[in-house]
Amino acid sequence: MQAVLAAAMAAQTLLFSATAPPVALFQSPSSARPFHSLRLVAGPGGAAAERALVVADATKKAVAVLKGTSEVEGVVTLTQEDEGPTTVNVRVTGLTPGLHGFHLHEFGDTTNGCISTGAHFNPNNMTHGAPEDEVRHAGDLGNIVANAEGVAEATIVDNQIPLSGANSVVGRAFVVHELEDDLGKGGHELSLTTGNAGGRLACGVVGLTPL
Amino acid sequence: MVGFLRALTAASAVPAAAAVAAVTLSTSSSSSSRLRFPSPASLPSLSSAYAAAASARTPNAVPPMAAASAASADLSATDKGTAFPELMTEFMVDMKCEGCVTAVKNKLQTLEGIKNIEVDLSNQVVRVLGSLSVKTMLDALQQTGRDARLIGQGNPNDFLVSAAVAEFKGPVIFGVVRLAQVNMELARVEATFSGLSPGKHGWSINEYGDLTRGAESTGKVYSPSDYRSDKPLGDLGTLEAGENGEAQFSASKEKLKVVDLIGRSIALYAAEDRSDPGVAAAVIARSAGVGENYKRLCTCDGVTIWESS
Repeated sequence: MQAVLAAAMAAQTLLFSATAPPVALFQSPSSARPFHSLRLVAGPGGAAAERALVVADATKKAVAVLKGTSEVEGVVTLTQEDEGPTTVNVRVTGLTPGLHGFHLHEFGDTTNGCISTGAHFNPNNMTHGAPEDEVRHAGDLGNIVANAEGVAEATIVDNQIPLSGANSVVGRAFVVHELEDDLGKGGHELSLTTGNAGGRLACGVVGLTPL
Repeated sequence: MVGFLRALTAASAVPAAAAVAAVTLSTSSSSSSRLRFPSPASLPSLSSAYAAAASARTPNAVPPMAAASAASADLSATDKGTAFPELMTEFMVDMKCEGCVTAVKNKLQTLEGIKNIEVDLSNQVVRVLGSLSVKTMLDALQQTGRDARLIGQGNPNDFLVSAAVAEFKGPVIFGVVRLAQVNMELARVEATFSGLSPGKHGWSINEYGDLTRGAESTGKVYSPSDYRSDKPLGDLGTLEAGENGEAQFSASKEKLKVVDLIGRSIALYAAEDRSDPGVAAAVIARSAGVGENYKRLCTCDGVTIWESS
């Protein structure tokens, strides 16, 4: 059972594909994470649990507008049907051609730059990895690829970034990096924490949007 | 019960509000949904965690904050925070020795409204329990000649989400709005802005955090479906910018739950009555609670907290 859960949680594919086992689509990630119940107990009267029930049968949508100090900007839209995987549509412009690390950080607070955003969103206390790895941060979304015009467009389908519940990504921040994320395999001292992806080019907080 | 006493002491600290509180206390929970103080009827619903946290504190008088909040904000009468409720605020302060710890403690102890100060030198962290605004505390810390940054806010182990922030990043209007849950019934709202046109501006918490068309795509003013009042809960009233385009606001607001605001937005309007499409908006983001983020270095680019902007 553990193996199935791990596989389900790790299931992540670029573009819509049928390679993910069907069980992944209906697996509620939070049910496999007992330590979250601690925080729920300490929470305000189980409000989060009630809300999760209310939205269980709905399409959920969110959007982040990315802005940076440079010319880099973009829009990321997120859609989740019921408790299925989240589809992330990314369009970022103003990049240098090539690969750029693309992550979700724990907090959406950029008042102290990258420091107040905390680490990569990592509710399961894993090391950094590729989106398709079993061992990865939930916020490890790999790289986006900019073409010769500096435009990166991608559609990412992922099981670890729900739009509701204790591990909801709403209110957290997307960050586009200067360099390629080595997906934890670069052998650099930062590979297993940040993927050694260099500075931030742009970031944006995930916000709720009308359906 | 301790919470009940705290409500009473908070009320008695501000004579002008004592009458309001007395009415509240004597007429049960059916009074207005915009109570100035936590209603005693709400206390049985507090989580045991909160009760435990509350009992760990002594119900000393909370110094009156009415003067400070009135001076720093143009509050509408219904939202006027008469006593600023106490909260844990955590700062990272550039301290290198025990001498710094003493200097920082001594400075903070000169301020009224601080109940407890803890310093963790190894992490360069200062935790302050009290009713002062973030700005007052930051100013005091910086007056010791040390850099200080807010790194966490809230009641530890108390709420699933205790703190949130909305940052306006320009290019014209810059600002930071901080929201912190004080108890089940009350949240603190503090804001600083620059780049505003002088005069009065309406502002509100809006239902969506969609900035694809700026403030225009943030929807209408947020109000929970079970909230009964003539004014939506998310109506923050009026901000008044001075000739220099700056505005400050600090207040506490009844019924506001930070957890329900995550991913929504705060929008600013040109007109006081918010009849225009809005001039700026920012998404309400999760920010660290107390003890949740001791990061000092951005491992992506090597920038330290003191160099960050």
